[in-house]
Amino acid sequence: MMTKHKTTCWDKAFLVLTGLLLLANIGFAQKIPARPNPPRLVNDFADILTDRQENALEHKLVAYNDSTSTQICVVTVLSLNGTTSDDFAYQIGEKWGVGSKDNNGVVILVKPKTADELGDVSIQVGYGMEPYVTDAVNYGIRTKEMIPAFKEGDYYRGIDNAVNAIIGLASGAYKSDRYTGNSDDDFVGVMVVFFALVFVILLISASRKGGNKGGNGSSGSRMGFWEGLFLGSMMSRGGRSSGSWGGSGGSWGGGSGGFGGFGGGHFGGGGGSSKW
Amino acid sequence: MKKKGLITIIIVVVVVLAIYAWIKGSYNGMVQRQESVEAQWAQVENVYQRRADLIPNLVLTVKGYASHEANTLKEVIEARAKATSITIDPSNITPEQLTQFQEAQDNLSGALSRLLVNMERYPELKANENFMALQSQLEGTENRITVERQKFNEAARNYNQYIRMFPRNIIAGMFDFEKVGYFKAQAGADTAPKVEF
Repeated sequence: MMTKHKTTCWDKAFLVLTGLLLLANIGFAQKIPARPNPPRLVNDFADILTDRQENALEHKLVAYNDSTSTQICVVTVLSLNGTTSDDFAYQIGEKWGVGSKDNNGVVILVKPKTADELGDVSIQVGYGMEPYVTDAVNYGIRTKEMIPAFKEGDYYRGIDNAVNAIIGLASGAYKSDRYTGNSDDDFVGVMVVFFALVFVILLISASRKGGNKGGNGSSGSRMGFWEGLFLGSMMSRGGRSSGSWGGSGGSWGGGSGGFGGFGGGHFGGGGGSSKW
Repeated sequence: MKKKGLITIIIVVVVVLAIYAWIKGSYNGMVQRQESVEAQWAQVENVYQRRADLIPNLVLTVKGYASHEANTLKEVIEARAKATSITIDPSNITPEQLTQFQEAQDNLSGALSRLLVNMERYPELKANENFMALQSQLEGTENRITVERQKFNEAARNYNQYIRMFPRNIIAGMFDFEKVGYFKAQAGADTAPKVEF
């Protein structure tokens, strides 16, 4: 009886402690939302876009990322958790790693207007985008392209306008490795290896046929080993190449699931915010 | 006897090598961290310079519209001159020097924010395209300053922790690796010139 009472006491204490720890954890983690998994460029946490609008935006941004490696990340939230929209957007950019190693990321953060709070929009640009989306231009995009649409309650149009403007500004600034890289050389290399292997296997099987006339069991099994080795290596090469092709096919043809992930871009606080 | 001497020599060599490896590792680690502090300091100076470069243009624009603001403008110009006159040797960022630097820069922040608040009284100025562009650039620069200062503090903390830990602090003392200062969030520093549109 005594021990049982003790246990429940400890249990309670333990529960309270765990609860406190959990609360502390949540409080810490909630400052900015966790990086989305699977990664997405459009993160409508405030739910101000319809699914169709989200997909259209995501599709456009993924295509732009595929061709230029520039990542424009759209985030909507209902609360800034006590910080400024600039800081919030900066933290998302830096912690999620929006942009490639050229630091060519952009974060568009929208907090919709509510009954008792002003709407807030911030566009933060990575170091590599600062020459293209300067602060003055950034201000122009916010006040001329976004806020007029937001005032009419059309969040999609405002965000889409901003995305189009940024795409226009940064056109030609960065190129994706996908198109400039030596993927053609890789393809030729794979084909050469493939045909060389086929040739070798044909040779081996031919010599094995010849050797089998006067051969014994052990020589036959040795041939089997070599054949298997070559076949195995061919299979692994074939597998690897088909894997990479499948990968690129996925992100070309994919609708919303094609985004390959954030690239670790860095932000320096360039950009600004406006309220309406 | 001979064998004993050999063993002693081997032990001495091993100990010397171990000490050498430890010193080398610690020293290089300090150099690496010091380098990142210096690189980050260059970024901090960059963004402050960026702000200083915007001010002459801002002053010119404001002058044309707000002739009554001669005093506020003078304050800004003087604060700018003071702030740009203080430079810090990046290889020796002492806490005292950093405090001095920060005071001068924060002074300029204060003068700027007073100027911008006063500008609210001039509707024609607020409608001026050039002024609006300058304001947005100033706002962006203040954001950058906040961010780079944060990043500097992170690099400084990383370095300071490294050199102050025992027993590495012995090596730090031997080679004169000194603690670097931090930017402090002072009263007023967090209320950077807030530009409301």
